[in-house]
Parts: sequence; C-alpha cells; structure tokens
Amino acid sequence: MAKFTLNGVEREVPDGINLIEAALLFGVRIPHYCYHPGLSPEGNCRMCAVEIEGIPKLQTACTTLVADGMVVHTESEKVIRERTEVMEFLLRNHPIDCPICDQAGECGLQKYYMEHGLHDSRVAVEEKILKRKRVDLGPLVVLDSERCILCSRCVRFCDEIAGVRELVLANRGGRSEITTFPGRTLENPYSGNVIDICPVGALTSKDFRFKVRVWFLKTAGSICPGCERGCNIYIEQYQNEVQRIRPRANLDVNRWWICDDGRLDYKWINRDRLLRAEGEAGAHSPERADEEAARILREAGSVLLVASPRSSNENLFALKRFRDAALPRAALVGGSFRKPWEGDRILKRPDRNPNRKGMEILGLSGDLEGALRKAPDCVLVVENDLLGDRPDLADLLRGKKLIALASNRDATAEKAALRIPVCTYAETEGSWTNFEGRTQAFHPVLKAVGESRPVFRVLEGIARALGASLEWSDFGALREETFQAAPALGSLSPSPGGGAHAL
Amino acid sequence: MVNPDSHALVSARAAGAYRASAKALAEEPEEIVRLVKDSGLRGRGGAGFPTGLKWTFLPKNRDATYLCVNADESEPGTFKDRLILEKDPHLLIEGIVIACHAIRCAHAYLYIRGEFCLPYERIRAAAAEAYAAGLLGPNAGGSGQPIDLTIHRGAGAYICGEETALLNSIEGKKGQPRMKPPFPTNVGLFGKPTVINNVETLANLPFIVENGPDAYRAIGTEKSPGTRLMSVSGHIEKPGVYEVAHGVPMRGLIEDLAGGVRGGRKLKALIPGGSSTPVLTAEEAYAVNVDFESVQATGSMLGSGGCIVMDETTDMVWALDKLAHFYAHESCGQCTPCREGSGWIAEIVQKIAAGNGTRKDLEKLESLAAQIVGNTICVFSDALAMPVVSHVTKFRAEFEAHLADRASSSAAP
Repeated sequence: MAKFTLNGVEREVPDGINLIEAALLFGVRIPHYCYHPGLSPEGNCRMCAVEIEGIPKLQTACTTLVADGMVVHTESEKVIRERTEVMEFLLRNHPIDCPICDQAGECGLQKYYMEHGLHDSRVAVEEKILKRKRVDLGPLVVLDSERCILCSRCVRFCDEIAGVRELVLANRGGRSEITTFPGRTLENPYSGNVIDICPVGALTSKDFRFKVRVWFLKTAGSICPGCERGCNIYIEQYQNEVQRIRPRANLDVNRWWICDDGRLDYKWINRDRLLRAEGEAGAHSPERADEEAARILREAGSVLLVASPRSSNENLFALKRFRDAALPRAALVGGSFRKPWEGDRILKRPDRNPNRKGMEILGLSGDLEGALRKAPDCVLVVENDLLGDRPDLADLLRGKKLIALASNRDATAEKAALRIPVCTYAETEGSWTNFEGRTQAFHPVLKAVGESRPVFRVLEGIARALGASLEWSDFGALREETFQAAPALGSLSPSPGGGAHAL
Repeated sequence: MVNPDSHALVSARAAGAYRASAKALAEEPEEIVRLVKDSGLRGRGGAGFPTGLKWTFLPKNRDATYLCVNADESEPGTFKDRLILEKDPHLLIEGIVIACHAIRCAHAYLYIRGEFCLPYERIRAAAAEAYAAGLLGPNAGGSGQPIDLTIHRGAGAYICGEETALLNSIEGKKGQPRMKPPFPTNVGLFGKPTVINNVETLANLPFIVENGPDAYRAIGTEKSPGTRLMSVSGHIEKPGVYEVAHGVPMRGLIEDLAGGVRGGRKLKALIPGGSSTPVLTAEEAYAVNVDFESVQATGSMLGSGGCIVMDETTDMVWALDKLAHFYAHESCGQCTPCREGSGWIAEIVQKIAAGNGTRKDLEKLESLAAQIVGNTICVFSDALAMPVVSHVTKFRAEFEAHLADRASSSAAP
C-alpha cells in the first residue's frame, strides 16, 4: 500500500497503480484521451497532466505510478489552465462536424470541452488543416482523419491486444495520420474494438454509422450469445430494434473487448421473427397454440423434448420441470449441431453455444442424434435450429410431428407442424454459464416482439392444457428454484468494471 | 595544410591514434569512469550534462550495456560532428572503444544522420579499417573483450537526435521520443541499460585518457573544461568549424577567427548554440564568452555550439519564419501541444512575415509559445518556443512593423 495526498486529503492505495486509477478510487476523475486501462500508457495527449509537489513540470497521471508521500493536485490553477490549453490545441484542426458526426453525444471532445474547455475559438474555419475523410480501413471501420486526435489507442490496441500490425501513425507533426500499413487492411477479428476506444468520431462503425443518434438509444447490460466465453456486452435499441452491441468491461471475462462476430451477432434479433403461432391450419392465438401443442403431444405415441445449449439456465430448468410435471414418459435430451468455429487465444472459444456448461450442470446433455434416430412420433424443439445446423436431419424427421418453440423463422420452425414464438435473450431475463462455470445474468432491452412469450411461460401454458400444474409467480421465482435445484450453477457472478474508462 | 587523407587509419596512427584506447583497455573500467568524471567533461550534444556522471547512472548489476553514438547532427547551424566524421573518424572510433570499455559495453551503435553521405562513407570505411586492424571486433585492441560497432543510418528526421527517439529508430520503430523515466541508463536500447553520447563528446575521451583530467581541466573554464567545436555560419566572412578553448570571448570568435561580419556590416543578432537556443542581440552576443555558464547567464544556451550570425540587413521576422517552418516540419506529432502548436505558430509567423498579421496574431503567437512549453514528452516544444519568444521579445519593433493593422485597422477577426 502507498500513502499519498490527493487534493489535500491523505489517501491509501494499492502499490503500482497510476494516478488516474488511484484518483478514481476516491471519485476524482482525471480527464484523459490516450490512456486506456487495457493498453500501455503513452502520455501523448497531455490531458491528464497533474501537479505533483516537488516537480516543477506537470506530470502525466497515466504514466506516473503513485508513490509513498506523493502530494498530488488535480484541480490546481496550473492544471486547469493546462487542460484548457490542451483542449484548444486538440480542437484547433477539428472539423465542425458534430451535426453529422456519429460520435456526437458520446464524444470525448464534446464532453471535455464542456468540462475543461469553454474557450473561445482563435481559429478561423478556413485555417483548419484538411485531411482525408471516409477512409475505408477495413470491413468494419471507417476513418475520418480530420476528426482524429492522434491518441494512438487504436494502434496500440492492434499491436498489444489483437497482436497484429495493421494500423500505424504515419507522417509527422500536423500531418500525422492514422493509416493501415501499405497493402494491409484493418481486418483482425477484433477490429471493431477500435471504434469503441476511439474517444472521438475518427473511427466509426460501418455497421452503425448514420443509423440513429446515440441519445435515442436505450441500453441494457447483457451477455454475448456467440460462444461459450460469455463476453459482457451492452445491447442498445431504438424503436424496439437492436442498433448495436458494445463490449461491457469485465476484467474476469473479456476485459474491455469483444470479437467482431459477437459485435455483429444481433441482426437475427431484428429479422425474420416469428410474430404469431402458426400451425398447419394457419395462425393461432397464444392460448390456442398451447392447446394445439398439448393435443399433438397427447396424441403422439412417443415424445422427444430437445433442449438447447443456447437456452438460459432458467428456461432449461423449466423444460425439465415441464417434462416431470406434464410428460413424464417423454425423453429429454439437450444438444446442438451448430458447427464449432476456430477459437483463438484472445476471446473466441470453439463452441458457439453460450450455455453448454449450464446445460451439462442441469443434466440435459446426451446423445441427441441417437435420440432422434430412435424415431419418436413427436419432437418438441426449444430454441434450437436443428435443421438449420444439420439439413440432413430432415430425412430423419420426415413424417414426425415437429413442434418448435422458436424466436425466428429458422429452418426448424419452417418445417414444424406447429411453431410458437418465444422471446430472444434480448427480451427476457436469464442466465448462462460459461465454459469456466461462471454464471452470468442478462437483462432485457427489447419489448417482446409480436406475440412471443418467454419460453417458460409457453411451457406453463402447454402444461396447463395438458392438465398439469406448472406455475411461477414471476421470473424471480423460477430463477430461485433453478439455482436451488442446481447448486453447481453457483451464484450469479458480478461484473467487475474496468478501471478508468471515462471515455 | 590539411592532410587530405586524415580520415585514413595510417594517417590517424601517425598522429597518435589508438594510443589512448590501448592505455584505457589496460585499465579497470571504473578507473576510466573516474578519469572522465574528474575531467569534468560535459556533453556536447546540447544539454551539457556531465558525461562521467551519466555513466555512473548505469545499474550495478546488468547483463548487457549498449552505447549509442549520437551522430544525428541536425540542429540548424550545427555541423561540427560532420567534420569529425569526415576528417577524423578514427578519433571517434577510439573514443567509442574507450567509452565501451568504461561502461562494459560489447556492442556500440552509431546512429548517423541520413543526409550525411560523405560522413557515412568515411565512418564506414574507418570502422572497416578498425575491424581489419583488430581495434574493433571479438578481441578489441587485443584486450580479450569484444567491442562491436553497428552503424545505423537515419532517414531524415530531426527528432531522431533526441536520445530516446534515436533508440526507437534503431529498434525499427517510429522515431518518436519515449517517456522518461525510465531513463535510458536503466531501460534503453532493446530494453537494456544504455548510454547515449554525442560524437564530439566521445572525441574528447582520447585526450582525457592520454593526458589525464588535470591536463584537460587546464583548458577552458572551471565549469566548462576543455575545448569546444563551434560551427559558425550565416553573415560571416569565414564560415566554418573552429576549435576554441571554453571561455574565450564570443567577440574574438566572430571578429578575429571567423573574419567578422560579412562585408564589414554590423552584427544584429546571433544564435549561440543551434537554432533552438534563444537568439542574442549584438550587445548580448559581444558580451558573452564561449562557455556554458556565461551564455546561460543571458538566458540562452551554448547548446550544440552552432553560431548563426545575422547582420543588420536581416529581417528578424523572416528569420523566425524559417525557423518556425523547420520546427513545424520536424515535430514528431506525438504530443498534442507540440503537434498542433508547431504548425499553428509557423502559420502565424508566416502570416506576419507576409504582412497580413494583426496585433491579435502577435499576441496569439506569444501565448501559444507559452502554451507548448513544458507539457510534452521531450523538449522539442521548448526548442521551438524559445526562439519564438526570444525573437519576438528582443526584436519586437520589427514584428510590429510587419503588422497589417499597425497604422489603420483593417483586420478581420
């Protein structure tokens, strides 16, 4: 531990942390652009300069480790003047783009100009240096060089985190520019992160630009469904459609990053949704759909219930309870035919299901293909696109009654005799257990689409129609029961934040 | 008469080269460090830091040490190292051998300015001769220890003369200064303890080893021992490099040695130590001596000994315009104040020089210079601000005479 004095108050902090992080522990925010807790400190933006007694020059807080006896001032006259001056320099060549800039509303320059700038401009617009706009850096990212403040976060990200040399700071002085190395593109599997860490509107997302103003977005903390890592994300919606996904810092899971596949893994939530229950005779109301499902299940000689490693622990548990209460003779097996992808050493895991571990803990894993080959008369598939993942299963399921609880019109739903719409993870509460056994909660950001219901509510309805009693007062009751029944799920893991992450 | 083959090993040997290095290699390294410390030798790169003291900053227990020779001489008005490289490269190599032995370095890197063509050829040939003669290599000078020399050519960036940018450049990275601390003596080239010394600094070592610290201190002043190579350029009858003992009057250097201001004109201003040192008026210039302390007393610096002489016909705004342009061109672009400020300052000076500047512009110029000082990773911003401030304050009337609104106010905001 080190004792230091921060703005006149003696404080104790762990050894070896820099002044930005140390000050943050006591709610003192030191402004910064180039510093990012996940990258090596560079000290080039000069925004975090603070006064340390005994040192004549201001020191950058990001590169200064706290030391015993250090006396630090973050709000002295000298420091405040310096911040204003740095803001003036940063804005000297900055274009007046806010009205058309995607970063507006979440821009470091806007934020700090209001907090530390407020100077009158001493630059005529025609004196500003013109640079390249709309530079195509790679599949996800567009660069506007005029807006860039050359903090080099993106360059350091590629070098240090993605482990590729794709971006570089070219040229010198006022002609400095971010660019890709000759003949290279910004295409590493994590390239989208440079959009998030860019404190200004220089690096924008091809996927998100011009879609919607950020102040209209509603945000919820969630978990990425893309693989068994369980990266923490924010889902952001406008008019009940997901607009973008951003990483949510969690030092134990994904630090500050997500992969590009995860970043784009939302389009299916907005597209080809199943809005109403449909049977062979046309559309059904939710109640009719539950009765229809009950009828098919009752008339079938043998029933197989298929669980999914993409369902939440709570929905998996509800399916188990459904079987026990309403269909004790039915077989219940979980699994997925989703093709694994190549994992990497950064975040991506080979298995592309977010809850295989939870499914195993709940005892639902088994030989799915073998169970299907046993030729049950009726197969009820929950949140599992069997036919999309394995088209050859169509032969196996020919002539079987197929009931699909599905959020989208996927191949399985299309083939089903009865398809009942259910909510995606973005519309419900739930939890997934990642490959390490860490159970994490996700929260709804969208209202249920069409007549879709949470899986457990559909199962309740079918059970009711089958004359069984299955009833939870609310999701909380289901969650409590789930975690009591399966102690191996542990408890919900908190999300430790990611240090100084002001921008 | 100058020997046209002075750069060749045979000429250098005839003049006594490599006697001092042989003597040094027979001594304990610590003894050489002590000699250099006692001599009071101060760095000739510009900052004037005591060389022996710098060497003692190396950590006691280290697995490798590097010496980097700074031959990136790019400071406008300075061309003394070029002369050593061209005319007496073996003096430098001998200095390198002595320094390597003193700091227990087995591999020295010489970083030479990219635009130096003949100097590069000469030092390369001299190094080859030294290797062939066994003065460098696995058994340097028969000492039983290896001393290797790698010559690395820069690619035309003034900033690579800044010691940590030089390290980055050798490592194949972009030439931009590193944060200090850690200082290079702890974490330098390839992460190892490293000493960076200027060419002229190292060229002083053979004399010190051969004649001892007292003989060295007998020349020059107490605080600035030894001699100094002064590059004299500009409006001067005999431009060139002059070796003078520290402490001689500047007037003597200008008027006598260098033949006086060209055409018998009057001196108007003089930059004493390379373009980043504050300009002196004629009165100030004629009152100083050529040593660190005397020039420092005027608020300027002896720096790298680059004397730029300006006569009475010089337009000081034009002169600053040239300097500001140079600094804007050479800022590495890493730190906000310098990157944005250097170009902004150059623009304003240009505007004033063209007669389009206003009083507001002049005020802006002064405030910007104050804004960039002291808040950057390296001292490049100070190097730009100091000439700006000194030109504007000492020759203010000239700047005001250029202003568009000096008589009538037609200024657009």
